Amino acid sequence: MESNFEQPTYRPKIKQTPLHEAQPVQALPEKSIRLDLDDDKNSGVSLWLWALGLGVLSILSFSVFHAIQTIDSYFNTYPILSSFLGLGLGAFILAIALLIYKEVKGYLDVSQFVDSKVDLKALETLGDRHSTLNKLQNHASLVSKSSYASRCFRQFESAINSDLSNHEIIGLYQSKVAEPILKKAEEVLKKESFVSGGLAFISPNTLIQTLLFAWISVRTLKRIARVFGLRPGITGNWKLIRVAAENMAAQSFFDLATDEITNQIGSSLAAKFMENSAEAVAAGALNIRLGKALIQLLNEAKHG
Amino acid sequence: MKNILRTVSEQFGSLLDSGANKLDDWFIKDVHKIAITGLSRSGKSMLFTSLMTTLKYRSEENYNCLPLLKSLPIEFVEGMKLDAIESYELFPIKDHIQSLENQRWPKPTEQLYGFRLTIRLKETGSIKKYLLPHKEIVFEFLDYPGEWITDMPMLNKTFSQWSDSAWAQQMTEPQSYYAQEWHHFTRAFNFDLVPDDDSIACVVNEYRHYLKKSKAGGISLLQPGSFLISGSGFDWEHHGFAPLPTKVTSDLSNPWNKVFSNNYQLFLNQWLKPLKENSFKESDKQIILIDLFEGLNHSKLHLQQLKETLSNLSETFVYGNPNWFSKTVLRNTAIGKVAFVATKSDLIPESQKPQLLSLLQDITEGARAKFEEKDIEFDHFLVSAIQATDPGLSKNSLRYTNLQDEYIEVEFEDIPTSLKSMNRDENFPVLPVKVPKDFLPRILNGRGMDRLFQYLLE
Repeated sequence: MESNFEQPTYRPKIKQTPLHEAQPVQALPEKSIRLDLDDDKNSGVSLWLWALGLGVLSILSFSVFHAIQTIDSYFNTYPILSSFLGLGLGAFILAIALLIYKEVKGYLDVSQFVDSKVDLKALETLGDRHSTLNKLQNHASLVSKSSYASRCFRQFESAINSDLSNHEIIGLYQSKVAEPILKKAEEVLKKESFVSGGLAFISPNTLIQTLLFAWISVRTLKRIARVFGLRPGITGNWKLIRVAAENMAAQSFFDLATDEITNQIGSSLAAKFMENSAEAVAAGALNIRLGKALIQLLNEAKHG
Repeated sequence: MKNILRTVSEQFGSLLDSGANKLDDWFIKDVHKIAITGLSRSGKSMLFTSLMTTLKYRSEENYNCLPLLKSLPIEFVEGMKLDAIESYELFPIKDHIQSLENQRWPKPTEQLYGFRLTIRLKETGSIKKYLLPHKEIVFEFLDYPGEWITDMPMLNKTFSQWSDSAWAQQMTEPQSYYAQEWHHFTRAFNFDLVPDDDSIACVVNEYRHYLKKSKAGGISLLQPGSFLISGSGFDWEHHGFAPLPTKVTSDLSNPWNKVFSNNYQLFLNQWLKPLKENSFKESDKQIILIDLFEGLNHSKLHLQQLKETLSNLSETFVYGNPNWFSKTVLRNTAIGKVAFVATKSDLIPESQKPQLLSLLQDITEGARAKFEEKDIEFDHFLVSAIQATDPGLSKNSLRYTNLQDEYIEVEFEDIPTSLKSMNRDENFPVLPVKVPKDFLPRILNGRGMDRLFQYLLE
């Protein structure tokens, strides 16, 4: 029987061209990076050790040199020794110069980090995934490569694929970078505040307590800044130091108040215990205030 | 006496066990019963294979995949396990992986599989983590052949209604081309003869031949699809039926009409009704997989028919959002969340994905109309269970390896955003992609699964 219906024919809307190459092999996705590793504890300390070591060496060398000069004041007589001493001194000066450079850079990094705010809401409104990624990458380039923040960002970067929309990229940034960093910073702050309270409780007198408090305040600032990928050095940022100074003033005022209360109620062991407990609570609370101010300052830079 | 005591203690023990399991269910288990509905060749098997492989490598090897799946954070996943739901077969994941290793696509589903995927997460709540150190997210999946799904609308029809509508479909494009031999056969056949086993088998086999030919030609609405696969629980060889010409169905005394009506009722009562009761009732979420390429590969008419099929299918399922009392106490279940998913999205360039999503929304229009008066959440997704293609030179091109091991660059014209914007005489021939040797990274680099499952878990 004859067919009533013709085989339908269609114009193909694709054009195929054979290539003279093999299909590339795809790589497995990156493995999830462990975020719970300790921060870059060693990277700053080693330079300090070098400086200290070289300093001690130089002092020793000069002392020896001086001793030798005393015995024999003729330099030409001991050319090798004098050269060695000169080298030591040179290295010491170099290390000191590097330290100064690190401090200046740390200070500038904090300012630059805070100034380069990434406004996620604005990025979301613009809706352009390309510029969002560029902005986030620029911001990430300011953080220390071995920091927690950098690891979070690498995690985020490895999860990005061409399929994700601008909104999803921003959501992913929040969940993979902004939120974990904030959580980690809060964890660090909690730990430091406990230490601060503990030190205030056991410190025998006000001077030691103030010194310990100053030390723990600076340590808190540094540790939180490192979570965000910053290395503010000792000087850090004026804003951070100001908060620390305010804290120390508040702690001293609190010391005076608790001392006076203790005088009023007598100097029994129970009174001393109460005084120390109150100071410990105050020290912890002030440390939390310090940390929160810093987190707010740095976190604003993330969320705009 | 001892026996009585033993029986009582066993009963008491099993009661305690079931009580403990119930408590577990309430406190630490979050169960999602998901029905995966997809027509034949919609990519169900590959989707399951990919999902399980990706979750396994994500939880055991820490690969950073499924980044948008925030409800299952990679750092809190302790492990996962796969087991069969009672009275169902376990999904043959090992066989599918073996097929992929041999550079063959997994075999299509030809029987019912029911399996439970349990993912154990560390509890992070400050108090909860001490009381209940972990929680479990449980997915219960039912996978069944797409051919069975297309049969479900038959439940609402009598034999003569079904026969007349099937006949009408065969007379229109695109089926009309494939139905020519079958129509020729029915014109020549004498339906006044008394049917016997041989003549019934002859008619049913001829109709099956038409169904098979149409299936190969990309036709989606083929009933009864259960006759096409061996895993169906109905003996079509002895109790088969086929649509009859109108002159036969209109004559109620015709012996063929009587025999086929009886067999049709048997098919509904023995096969379709129990299948619907046991397999489709328990789900609270639904993924509807749609292979748009099957339609794009053929013609606009094929896509139109796909739209019609989906619309008919949505009448089969019970949709709604029962409240807590109704759900927990009265055990009423209904599908409250639906994801329409276009699979194999790696077969088009990245630049064409918005168009494909728009086309998907257009195709599901009829099905979505059924949700209008109910509180049903739905959304549309593009998914590639395996990223088998690579980007091409231009933004509208991609590359793939064909079955002859040639690496091909394909330049695409714009994919239509709706049925209206597609010309009748144009199509997008499907790409005969070979399973890549590096299938594992390509599965782990698949797209859209995280977005889909995050939506279902929210």
